[in-house]
Amino acid sequence: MDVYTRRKIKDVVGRLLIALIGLFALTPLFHILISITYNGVRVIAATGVIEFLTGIPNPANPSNPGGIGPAILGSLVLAAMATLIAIPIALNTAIFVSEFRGSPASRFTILLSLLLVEFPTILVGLFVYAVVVEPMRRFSLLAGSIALALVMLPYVVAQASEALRQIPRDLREAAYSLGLSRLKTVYRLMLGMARRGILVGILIGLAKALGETAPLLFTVYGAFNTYPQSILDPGAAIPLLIYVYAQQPGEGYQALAWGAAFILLVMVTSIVLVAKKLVPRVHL
Amino acid sequence: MVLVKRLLVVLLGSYARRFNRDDKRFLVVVGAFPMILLSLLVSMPVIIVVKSTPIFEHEGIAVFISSVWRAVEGSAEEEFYGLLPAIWGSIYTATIAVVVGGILSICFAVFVEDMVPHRFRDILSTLMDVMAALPTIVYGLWAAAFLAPLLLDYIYKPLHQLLAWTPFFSFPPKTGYTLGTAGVLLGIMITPYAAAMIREAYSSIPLSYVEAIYSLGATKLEAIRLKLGMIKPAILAALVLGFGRAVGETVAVALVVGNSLTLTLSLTSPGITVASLIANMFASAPYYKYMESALFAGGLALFMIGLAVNSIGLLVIKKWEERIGLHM
Repeated sequence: MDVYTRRKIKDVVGRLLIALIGLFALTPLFHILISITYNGVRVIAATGVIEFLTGIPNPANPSNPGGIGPAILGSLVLAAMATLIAIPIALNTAIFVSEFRGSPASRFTILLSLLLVEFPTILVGLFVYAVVVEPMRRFSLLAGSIALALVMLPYVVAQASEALRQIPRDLREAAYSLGLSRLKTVYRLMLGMARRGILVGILIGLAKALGETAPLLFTVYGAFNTYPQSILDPGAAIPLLIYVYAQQPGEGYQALAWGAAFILLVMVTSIVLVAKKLVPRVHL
Repeated sequence: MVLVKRLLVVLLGSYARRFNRDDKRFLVVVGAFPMILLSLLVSMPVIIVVKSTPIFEHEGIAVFISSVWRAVEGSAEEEFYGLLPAIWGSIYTATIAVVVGGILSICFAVFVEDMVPHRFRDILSTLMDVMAALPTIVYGLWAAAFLAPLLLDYIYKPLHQLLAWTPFFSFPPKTGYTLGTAGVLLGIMITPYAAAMIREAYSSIPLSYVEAIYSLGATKLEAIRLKLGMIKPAILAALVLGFGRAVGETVAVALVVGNSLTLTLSLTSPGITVASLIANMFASAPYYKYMESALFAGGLALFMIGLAVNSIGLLVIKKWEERIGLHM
């Protein structure tokens, strides 16, 4: 066998291997989507959609395990409150970063935000436990939403500052020439022009916050069976319910975990797909 | 006043000298918010250090280098907590994750950039984005139900028979909930992030370089190897950041790692990681005097590992971006 044939064979075999492994990287995704949908839909169909979305868990009866209403409500309340807390901080930070772009302060802020993305979210949970839960002497939805706001923040900052940076300079100068102050120019004009990027940032942050479990472990606790009466009550969230129920023996618990995983999967993937539709390049 | 002005020039660049009243008002309103971010990030380690002080006073540095775990109710002096198995488990599983995730993400990046027709690329990258966005608890639930039994039957059992004499497969496999399973799962989970970074770097190689490679008569595989060599810093950064994510992952690992405080090299043995230890033990911590503090010490260890790893990763990627002329 001469050198040329040997190289040729190596080339074909090598590329085939890369293609196979490359495709193989996606198989977990397909298996997750299929198995969660199959198991989840089965459970939800057995209990009925309305019952599953609003009912109280009844894991003692595996054939009709009830619903995950309190956890769904908890997740929605947590996500809404986290968004309300995160948005003002995140948008103003993004404005700061893009207005003073290139300056050491702006670069340092970007670095902080990147570090926060990469940081273990369980540390956020420990932190909020120490500064909110312990002084208040109670687990609460409020503490959970503060933790989730910290998780959301950097995603909104990254996406919004990129959108703000892309606004052409002459538009801002046109605003100045009309006598607008810098604050008015940014808040009235630039935020409006960057609304798409900002919306995508919020959506990505929401998707991340909805799926987080670790920051909630020590902050909202798990009150899966009762609807919370106020934001100072302990609450539940869908990921938390999955985590706790998946570790319980008993088919009823497992069934509820699969159904909850399907609901969570639908919520998160639809948010991400909408965000991808609005802006092709998203920071996950 | 002069001092404030100096500081502003240092922080914001020389044009801060020419700030008029309008600019100043703007800075006062907007500048307060990055301060909130900064104060949060500074107070996080401070709080964690404060909360872990009692355990350091109780047993000193042994909390990081001992593997004894003695939780005794009612007698605080008897309590002793060593986090070494957990710290080891975190580093070991994250290392496995980097190996698995590295192979998967590099092959995926090359596959998408070099072998797939243009119109399928968007679909594949959307799928990877969905994979990145999947909640970690969903990965955990799936792995506990499918990945763990699969690895047990088709990997651990045969390899234990063949390779029981090596430290990696010495532990007789009984369940699929092991350090190896946690590592493989983490590898799957970091793949989308690493693949996105590697793809971005891979596609940024100038066309003239690629043409030069082919003009020398290289085969496509040889070209791929040369191109991967060019983006080594980006691959390194992607894997380092992936390691950071894997070290901090909590619930998915807690569901598959087996949660046993053992210090072992064996992939077939149950183990524990710092994050899953904190998640598991926190509920029972109030019954003991020092346990909560010991868990905060675990948080401190995570913080230090995370800070070191992520700083290195971000630094490498920044150097690389500067070299190829991209700016943040």
